[in-house]
Amino acid sequence: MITPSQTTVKPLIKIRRQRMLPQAGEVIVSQGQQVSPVQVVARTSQQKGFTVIPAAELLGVPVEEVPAYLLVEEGTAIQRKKPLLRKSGLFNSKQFTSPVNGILYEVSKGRLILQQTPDLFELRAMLPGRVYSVRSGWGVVIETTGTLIQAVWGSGREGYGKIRVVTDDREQPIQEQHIDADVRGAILVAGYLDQRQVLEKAAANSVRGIIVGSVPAVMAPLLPNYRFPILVTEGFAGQPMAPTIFRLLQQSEERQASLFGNKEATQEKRPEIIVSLPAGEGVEDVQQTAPALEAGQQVRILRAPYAGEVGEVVTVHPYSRNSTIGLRLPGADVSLADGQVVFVPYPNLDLIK
Amino acid sequence: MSEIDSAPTDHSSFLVADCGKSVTTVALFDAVDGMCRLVARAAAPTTVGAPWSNIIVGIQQALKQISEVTGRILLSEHGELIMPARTTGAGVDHFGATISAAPPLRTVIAGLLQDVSVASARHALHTIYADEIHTFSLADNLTEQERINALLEAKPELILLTGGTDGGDRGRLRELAETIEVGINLLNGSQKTHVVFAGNRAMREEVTKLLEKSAAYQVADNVRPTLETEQLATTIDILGDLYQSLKIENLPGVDDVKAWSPYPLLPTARAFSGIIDYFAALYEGNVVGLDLGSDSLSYAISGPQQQRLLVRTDLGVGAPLPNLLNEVEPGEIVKWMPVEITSSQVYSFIQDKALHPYTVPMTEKELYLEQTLARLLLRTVHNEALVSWHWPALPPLEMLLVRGTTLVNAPRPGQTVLTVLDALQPTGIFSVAIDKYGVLPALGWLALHEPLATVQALEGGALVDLGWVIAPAGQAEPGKLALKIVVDSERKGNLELDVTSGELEVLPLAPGEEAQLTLKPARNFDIGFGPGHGKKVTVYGGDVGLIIDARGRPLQLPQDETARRSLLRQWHWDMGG
Repeated sequence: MITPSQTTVKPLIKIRRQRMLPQAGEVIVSQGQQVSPVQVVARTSQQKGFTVIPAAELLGVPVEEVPAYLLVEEGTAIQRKKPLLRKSGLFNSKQFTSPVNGILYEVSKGRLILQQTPDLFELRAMLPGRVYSVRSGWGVVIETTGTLIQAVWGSGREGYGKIRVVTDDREQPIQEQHIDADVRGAILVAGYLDQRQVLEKAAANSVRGIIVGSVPAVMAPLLPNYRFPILVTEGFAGQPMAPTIFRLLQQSEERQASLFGNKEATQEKRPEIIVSLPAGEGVEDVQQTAPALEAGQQVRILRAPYAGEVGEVVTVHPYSRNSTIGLRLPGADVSLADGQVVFVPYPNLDLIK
Repeated sequence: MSEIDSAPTDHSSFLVADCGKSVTTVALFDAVDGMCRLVARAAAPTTVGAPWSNIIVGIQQALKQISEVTGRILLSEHGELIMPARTTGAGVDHFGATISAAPPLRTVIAGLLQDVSVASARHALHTIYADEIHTFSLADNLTEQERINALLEAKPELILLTGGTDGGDRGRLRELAETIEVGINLLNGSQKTHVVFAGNRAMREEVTKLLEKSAAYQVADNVRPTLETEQLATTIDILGDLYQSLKIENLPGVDDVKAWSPYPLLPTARAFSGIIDYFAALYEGNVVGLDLGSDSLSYAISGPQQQRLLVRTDLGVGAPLPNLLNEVEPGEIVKWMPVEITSSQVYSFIQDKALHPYTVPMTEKELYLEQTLARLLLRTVHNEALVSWHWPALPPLEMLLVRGTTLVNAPRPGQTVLTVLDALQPTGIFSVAIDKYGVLPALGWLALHEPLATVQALEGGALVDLGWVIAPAGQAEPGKLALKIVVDSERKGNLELDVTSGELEVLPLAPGEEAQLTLKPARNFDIGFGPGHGKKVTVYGGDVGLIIDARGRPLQLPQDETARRSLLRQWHWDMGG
């Protein structure tokens, strides 16, 4: 049995997604409740860090004497510029104020540890659906139905907006002329991205996200700097968008989509595009299995000279055979769009399921 | 009568699983004509992640494949391993597992001098699967507050605190320990952070008093008792145990695996270094092992004088590949390519390969590129090993053992030999073998528990011999004599050969075929017995043959691009294309 890598590209499927806080907090929705993408489902206070004041050193006193000069008690709220320490002498006195808002967390070995007032972190649903389950203090699983497309790389951000396909076909790049006030709030789809100016213009026009087949590898480190998510469906080698994905996004034109741009993507947590749709009869349930390679399946080829091409498995070869360069591996004969049938080793096949 | 009810056999069979990040390989060893042999192996995806979240599922899938191929039933109807083996042929007597599927241990190294205590701490840390996520030293110029906040952000599982020679500086080490104490008190949630103190022995009592309540605390010998000496043994042992308890023991499904085996689960890198130790003892010489994986790179050397292991979890041919660019410039990679390519193409390829880490090349150009990247990954770790172990050069070798898909699945075996020769540039007379079937960790496990079975399995061909290499050290003008060789073999008779400086020669010598060599190096070349000193040696053939590498050390590449690519292509052709 050969189990190749897999990419989910489904027009209509039941989807469950976890929305969890980075640290424990409070869940503010309940099981079964309908949520909208912008709705806050959980919140927590996010630590901003600690400030250390070397009190003994500043006062010029032994470590054990520091508490005698404290003007506030441990655990007390403090405000910026409020006095914390005072040492009065015969001829002069020293006073030190708090550099931050927060609490005096601890007095430890002559130091004052101040905990800065944490920020409120609100976790939004980011997709419309029903709260399927609640993990108390941490977050929820949201269930919805709709289109699900897995990407291969994301810039690390999340977004929500209307899909707008800006190129006529999957092999064209997104260009500056595609972006104007008309695309404000939209998620733009194009074959590939190769110009940084496009990103600047997208940012200036409040674009909510970009989905492309590929970006140049040198550009990838810059993408997390943009406030909207950028998702790549194929890779960094100049590939156009896979036809199946491009077609499905075309069919989703003007529909609301959620982008999850996980940067440290693993097979279990890949970046993805979810277009919520009304549930119909017989919607396929969440898939948990990794299907084996079989004739008739649609596959994407991951390496040159066929990188990015999508074809159909004609024959599976479960035992090793020679590739064109002499590598011996199991694989499959794949029929490409131009009718050519080529043998592809299984590690280079990505099953589109 | 079910398989489980039938009687046990009177010989031992062994099933060893190696659970990697992406692939679980299972090897079955059993008696064939009274000798232990590798009888079957199978691989299945590792199932630590969703949707399975149980490591044993991948093992069971691989076992089912073995059953399909051999007809031998290994699992009961309920998916339990049938143990011991039955007279019907079902089941197996012993089960063991080696594991590299667990994530690396998130570690902060804290020490004083970068080149002294911090370097030694790093040497110890690089013997396990660990990520060095932050480093504190005198050179970092961080304030106490910055260090505390860095600790809080890094959320380490382990802090390895070193610093100070025995009886040396106390003040700065005290400050560092106090900062760590404040940091971990703020960090500690439901579980305490682990701290291993391996610094100035004179500070042991004070640091222990400071940290033992806040941390899950252990003490090791000072890794740097003097500026000139390094003692890592106790730290390495503690780190190994921590990796075991914090990472391996927490893998989903690990209890199910342990229920099958009375033996402790072994990190794959340990099993790998174990088999290298085994070969070193067998040959009474130095043996180097290279394991170039997708997510890590292990480099082991063992011999009469030393047993060393270096594991890098930030280097590999898969997802960590972009980290190679922190070590070498794309231009250096271009320099080793026998075909034209730009730095930007190299950069794009590396980033794209990291997205699709398990893919394989389908064009000659990408094949060359993957082998070039393998060469530079190995070279990077080799150079680090030499520095870490304070060696001016690699000592004379008896054997080089190679593992990892990129290397062992090369279309032509000569490409594997050329890659490792270019990377390590070893000298002397040694053999090269590859782990074609992915069973070296299993053999390492077996060597620990059944050494005799290991000998028999190796005699039965568990590894693939590529041949012997004669690589004289030295330099001379191209075309000048480097080495005179007389090859005497039963099948081919007598052959005399003059090898000139710069040449790479391969003489056909089939696997298992024996040949007597009379070697006489030129005055400025050394094959391990002193410049100009020769010797008679017995060598054996392999899939490549007898390789004479008279290119000199270090290897010199022409400055001119065309000449350089032409020379690299020549070397490929010399090694069989």
